[in-house]
Amino acid sequence: MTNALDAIAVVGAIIMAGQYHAHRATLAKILGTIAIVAATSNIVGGFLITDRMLRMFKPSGPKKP
Amino acid sequence: MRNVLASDTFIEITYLIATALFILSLKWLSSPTTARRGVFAGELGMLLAIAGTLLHHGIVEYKWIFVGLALGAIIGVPLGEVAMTAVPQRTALSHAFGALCVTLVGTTEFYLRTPDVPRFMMGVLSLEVILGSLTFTGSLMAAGKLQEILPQRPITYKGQNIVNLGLLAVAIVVAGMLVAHPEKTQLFPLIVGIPLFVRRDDDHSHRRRRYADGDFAFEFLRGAFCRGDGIRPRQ
Repeated sequence: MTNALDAIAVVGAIIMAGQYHAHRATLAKILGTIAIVAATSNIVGGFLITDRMLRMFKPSGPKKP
Repeated sequence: MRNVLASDTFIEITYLIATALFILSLKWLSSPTTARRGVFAGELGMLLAIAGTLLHHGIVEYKWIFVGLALGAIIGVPLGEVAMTAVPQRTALSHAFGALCVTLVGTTEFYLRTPDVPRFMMGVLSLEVILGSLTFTGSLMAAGKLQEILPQRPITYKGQNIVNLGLLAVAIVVAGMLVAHPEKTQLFPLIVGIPLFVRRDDDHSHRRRRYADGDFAFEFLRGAFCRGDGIRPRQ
């Protein structure tokens, strides 16, 4: 989960990738997009794996199917 | 309508709610009974932060943002579905991705602002980029070892420590030069590139697993930039 929280850096990446009028906008767009891909994969992957781990704790509860 | 939504106050409020959700998330995550709620609060906070950022007035083109988000999701799903035994290398890989993101954001920020980068910001950017690229190769190596793609034996050579310290010292000196003269753009690639080759690879395997090679730098980086919850043991 903390890995997923790391990915809050995606906010910075989004601002970079969205530049248009700034000089060197192409560079910002390329690097920003790669950064968004890297961070988003952490958000999505981190969420899925943490949820899966936590679900493993569930069956020991009082509920029975 | 767009003007109201794009106002700085609105974005600030979104960030404030997101921050509150992150704090709640970390609190809830500390107990097994509320942990899942904590995960959802964290994800909700992240969605809010992303939504707020998309309304930022500096952003004019959305195409590549959505391409990036979509691609990241496509890569993220299989990474979230690895076998539980593969979690350590997955974690190392995600640290490498996080470091890559931070390094790229720092690099872009520099090139967009140069030649007039305030000194303090230049200092922060240098630290961000040095620690980011240091962590990137470090975590990639850790992932490679845990996945057994790389040899398990530590990769060492004579005088490794001296070489590493020397490289790091050069990077820090160059960063200092950039703080003094932020207009010397040609120096910037050095502080991104040099730390990639600083590798300390000892054979304390217990320590390597706990703070897999380079992860420590990442923990420090997160602590320094308040993007996570500081130093914590591995799950």
